[in-house]
Amino acid sequence: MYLYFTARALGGVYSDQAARETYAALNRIALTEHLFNGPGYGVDTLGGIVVYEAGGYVLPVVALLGVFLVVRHTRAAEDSGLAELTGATAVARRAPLGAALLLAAFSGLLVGLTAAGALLLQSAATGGLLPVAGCCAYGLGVALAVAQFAVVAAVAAQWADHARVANGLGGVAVGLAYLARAVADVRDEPWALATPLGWLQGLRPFAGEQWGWTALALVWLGVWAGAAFWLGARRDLGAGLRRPRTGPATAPAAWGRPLGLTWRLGRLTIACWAAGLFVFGLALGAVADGVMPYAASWDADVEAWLGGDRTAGFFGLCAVVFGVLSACAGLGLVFRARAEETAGRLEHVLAGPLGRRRWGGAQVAVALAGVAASLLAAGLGLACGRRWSMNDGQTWETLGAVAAHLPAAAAVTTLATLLVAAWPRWAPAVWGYVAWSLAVPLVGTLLRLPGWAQDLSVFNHTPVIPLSDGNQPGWALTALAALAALLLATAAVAWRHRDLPGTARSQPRVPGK
Amino acid sequence: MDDSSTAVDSHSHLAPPEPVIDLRGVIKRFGPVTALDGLDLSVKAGEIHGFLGPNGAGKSTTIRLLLGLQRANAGRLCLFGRDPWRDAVALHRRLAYVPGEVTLWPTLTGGQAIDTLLGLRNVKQAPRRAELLERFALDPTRYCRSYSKGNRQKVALVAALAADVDLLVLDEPTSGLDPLMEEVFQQCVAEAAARGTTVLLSSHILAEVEKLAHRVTLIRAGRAVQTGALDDLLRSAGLGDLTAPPSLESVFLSHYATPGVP
Repeated sequence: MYLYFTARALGGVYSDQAARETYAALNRIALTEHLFNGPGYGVDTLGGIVVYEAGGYVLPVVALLGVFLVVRHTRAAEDSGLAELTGATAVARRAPLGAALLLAAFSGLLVGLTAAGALLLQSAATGGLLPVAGCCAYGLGVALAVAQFAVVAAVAAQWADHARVANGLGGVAVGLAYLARAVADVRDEPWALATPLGWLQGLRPFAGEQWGWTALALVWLGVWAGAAFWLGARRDLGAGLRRPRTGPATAPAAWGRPLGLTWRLGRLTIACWAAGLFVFGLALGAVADGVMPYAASWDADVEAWLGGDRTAGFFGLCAVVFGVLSACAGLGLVFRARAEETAGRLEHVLAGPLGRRRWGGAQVAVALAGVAASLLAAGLGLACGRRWSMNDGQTWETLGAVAAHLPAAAAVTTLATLLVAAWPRWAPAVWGYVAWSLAVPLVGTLLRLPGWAQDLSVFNHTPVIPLSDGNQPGWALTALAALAALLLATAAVAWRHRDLPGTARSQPRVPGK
Repeated sequence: MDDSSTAVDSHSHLAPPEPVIDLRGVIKRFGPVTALDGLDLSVKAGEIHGFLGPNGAGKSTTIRLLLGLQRANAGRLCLFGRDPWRDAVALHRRLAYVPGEVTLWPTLTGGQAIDTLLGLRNVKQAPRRAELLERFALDPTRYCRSYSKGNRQKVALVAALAADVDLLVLDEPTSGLDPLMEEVFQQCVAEAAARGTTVLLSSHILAEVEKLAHRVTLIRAGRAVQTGALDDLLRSAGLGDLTAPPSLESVFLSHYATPGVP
């Protein structure tokens, strides 16, 4: 069911994208796009453009789908005890792993077929502009992306002793593959084709398909799947190959304070975000010099998109993206606090002499610290990368341009806090707002979104640095900070008056709600 | 049972003790569902009070109201003579709570979780921590995510019992414990009561309540259907049926086995 909708949504994206491309200019190519999307084969055909525009994002996303699917049906089932229940019936030891991999293969096939089908449908609608072979090659690539990382996750599930660890390992594998391909493509290195996502793009849909890469993918599948079964036969149900560790029997006194405990629980998440965004910033900064020579080939749309000064425009765009991503870090920490409530730990903790606001304040403080740390790390990475590649003496300005998004990112984080404090049921909706905020800088101008719609994103109100004459950054930033403070104050009031746990596990389910 | 009734008596010698927990006509609604429908509950200082009722009768909701986690729609709630919602923080200094379904931080060890819970209660000295770990046979170096339900329950029990409090609020505290550990639990609660701690013991396990409690309250559909000293309850049940020895089970079943009869 879930897959059906995922696939349908994907189909929707494709038809949209294709329709959009026919009316948008055909020759927009920038090296930054290579970073995100890949090498771009046959971008002088409609099919090539569709694959190029949508394809680069789709491959890692469906790869993650494969990871989560396999972990959910192997390691997570063992964690919850479900595997023990089925394992006691007449089911072979290796059956759950085999079934999960089959399911992933089937899902991959389904997603691939849907992708190919969507392209074919679009082709029929546009009068056969998308050749059948290309559609099939693209579908094949998508299906293989799911399968390739499903088998990696299967190995991770054997090694790890917990579903979260296995999911994390699988996600890191996808991220590394994407990063390796991105760096290689930007530098135009041939070894881009030697990365798991790179050889899928090597299938070259719509650009003289090279089916031979399928063989390499199949070898990859065989090796990893074999390894998963081999490892699976050498461990106990419910245990990983990694022995469960033991740890200290006492806790430092700081954990007995809400701030200390929240920091202890969130510090790893914050460190991961900061490190990840630093590397991302470094990569973007390092390739900036490569972006500029392509500027000559940009058309008016891209010109308008990046603003007059292309270098500044590029870094401005990076700054917004980092602003939104650091808000994601903040949101993750706020929803972690919500998880404390739904898991029942909050009840236990608040039965002590600890005011709700003190607990809530600690959560918000750590979330905002996480936002600041990730944003600064991203800015530092971008600035260092820029210094290395361009050395144009704009290091501090670059850092400042990224850091200027702190009030906007804080405002989004406090919006999530307010929702969790007052209407936890609706809180996940804030992710939609974040997606919108990311879409506005990336495609807002290209899609010719009306100004008010773009202005809905708080990140649109952060002044662009370097400042043009007469542009006062102070009050816009102050206004954003004030908005964040207002949201926080409202959250504090709502938080004090709400029943805990809201929409509780053991409360009677209210019909009709 | 004799020693337990003397425990109650010894308190009645003092000046008229104010009840530790005093609920009158408490109503709590969740949307159209009425969880508590005029509940009365009175727990005297120093007693172990059994709080009995089937699933969904409102036991956990009552405890959440007492802890100031939720707010009643109507009725009078008093904990140590104060309002559990408004004075939550001050009141919580005097109590410890064991939830029915204990979830712990998966990335902390059992020992760390105990210290964290004690720290959040502002407990500086936990004199019985080591002793309790040994009695409950709990390995504090294992990570919480690898604990079984019974072991998670033990972590909460050790944290609650390690330091002195005036009131223990226990919400089905022995679910998941094996019979040996249940025995340890009963000893620990009896020792706490001997130190003068008041205990509200919500439970399904009738034998446990029968062994420990001085007084019991039975609730059904958010309303107290019977309350009183355990001995009186048993005596009144025994009058009706001379063939079987009076037990709490027969009292319990008399209330719940035939639907529609309060």
